[in-house]
Amino acid sequence: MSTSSSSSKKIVLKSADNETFEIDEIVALESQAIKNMIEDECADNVIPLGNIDSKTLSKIIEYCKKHAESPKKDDNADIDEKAVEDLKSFDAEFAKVDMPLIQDILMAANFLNIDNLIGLMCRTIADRIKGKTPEEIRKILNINKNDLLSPEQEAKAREENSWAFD
Amino acid sequence: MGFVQKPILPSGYLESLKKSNKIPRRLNVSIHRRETLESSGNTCLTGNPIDDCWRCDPNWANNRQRLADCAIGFGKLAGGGKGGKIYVLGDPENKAVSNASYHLTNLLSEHPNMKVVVINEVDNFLFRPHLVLRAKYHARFPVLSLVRFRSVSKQWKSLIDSPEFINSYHICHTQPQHHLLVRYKLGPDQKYVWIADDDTFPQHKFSLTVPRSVNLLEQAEVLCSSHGLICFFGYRNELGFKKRSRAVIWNPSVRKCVDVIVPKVLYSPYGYTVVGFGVCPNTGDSKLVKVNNFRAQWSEDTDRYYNRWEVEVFTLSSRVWKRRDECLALLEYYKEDEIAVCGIWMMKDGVTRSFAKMFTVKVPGKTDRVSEFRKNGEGIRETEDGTKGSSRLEVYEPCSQHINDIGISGNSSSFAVTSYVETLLLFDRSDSVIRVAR
Repeated sequence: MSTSSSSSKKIVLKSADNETFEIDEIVALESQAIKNMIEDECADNVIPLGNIDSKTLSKIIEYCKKHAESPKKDDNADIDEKAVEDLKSFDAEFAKVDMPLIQDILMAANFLNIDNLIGLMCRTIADRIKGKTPEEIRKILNINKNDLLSPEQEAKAREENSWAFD
Repeated sequence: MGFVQKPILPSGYLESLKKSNKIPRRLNVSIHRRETLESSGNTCLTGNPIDDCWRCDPNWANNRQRLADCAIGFGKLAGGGKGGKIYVLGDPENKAVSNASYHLTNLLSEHPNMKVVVINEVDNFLFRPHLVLRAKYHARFPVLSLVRFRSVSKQWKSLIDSPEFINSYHICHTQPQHHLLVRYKLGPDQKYVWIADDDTFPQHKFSLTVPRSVNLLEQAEVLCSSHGLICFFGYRNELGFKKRSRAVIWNPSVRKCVDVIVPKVLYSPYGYTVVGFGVCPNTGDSKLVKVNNFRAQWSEDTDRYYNRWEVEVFTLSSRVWKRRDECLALLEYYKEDEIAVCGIWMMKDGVTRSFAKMFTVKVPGKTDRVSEFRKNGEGIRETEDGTKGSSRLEVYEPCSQHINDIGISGNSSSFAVTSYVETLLLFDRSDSVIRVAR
């Protein structure tokens, strides 16, 4: 039961559709949930992620790799501007995907507890629904018909704050 | 592997963990070690009373909530996960997955509202309390958008209407929109104007409708704004009562208001009453402070006049006025080097009659009257505009020393300007009147 951790240690993740991904431990540590498992010595075997498909998982690994390589903010104060800008433009590019994938990434990031990624996905969704009408938001987020208010309930909800729809 | 050290926890350790919500995960570590211990043939006793409590029951794993009974000392009364719902997730044969279930249990115990973690619908997901806070924070959704968003779906409506969401918007929104409320008189009419306090200042302004209960107040004044709520104070002549003082707490962003009857207000010659208003930054609860100043009394011991004060605090959530004896204070006016000063004395405790002097304040002389400050620090003031009895509102930029006209004119000395931020507080209340209760 060796716990010696070197930078080359590998972690294996398995997606819902049984695809395995071998990644460096340092990349896996971006996920607080996996970090906890490693600390508890529960990550020696393959880590099965039964609710994340391979498409989503590979996107998440792409994100974690980039962020693991970049210098952390709290390491030192005089971090070079270029790295910050680089990471910003990476995040902007990363978020340019369609809504269903954003939703999948958000849920997976929440499950894996990757704080920055949750923030990025929330920001992306928020930007897309900003200034939109309720009808447009339902379409953008593909909200299930069963979850909608009945026409009477909706009329009442508007009536209660009719000033907001003037 | 050979020697395994017995994990003996220092006393108080478990309790502190329980308090910090880390216990399920830590217990898991402990169980993991225990399993190793067991395979090496040790007995159940460890010497630690907490460990022994659960460890000696061979079927402990069937009722893990019983573990909560094992806490001693300070943690004994802590509820923790005891009696809560047990979440089962994943394959118990698989260590990593069962470990994940522990993390999930952890997550759920910390955030009880997150029961939708595995539900595959993003609106549930996005609008789970802690997530929407980030989303809202980043996109800086104004209150108006959120009020509109209520009709998107059932989940959105119930979330936005929930007291938790309303309070967390108040606490977590670090960069809310700023607005200015201008109240003034033009001839016999009371006017209210809203101005957006942003880059467009003072371009965006329009006339604002205040609640009817504000218009019904006699001699109304704006007490102050606190965390987006504006408090008016005045009185109403009611049937069977001569005067009845009222405070009206109003949220202009969501157009909700609450009337509070203010009891036992002093009028001359018995003394006078001062009322203050504030919102508790942590709880979002509105509070009114009423200070009754009884007519000054002469003290022969010290050869000075003393004012006696009585303080009562009203809390909106509990809807009651409470007397605060511990706040008893005395003000003492005298001259020090020919400058008028005011000493503020506070009673040390509610029982003894010993007072401690808390502050000495120089009584301010005549100062320029600045009504309010914008969020960027520019002062707004009323200036006589040449015509008799008429004033206009101006903004003063301290850097360039420029004075600009805001474009609002009215009766002299009638202007009151209040800066406020957007908030959802009071959104979950229907307009109501709170009568005296003790």
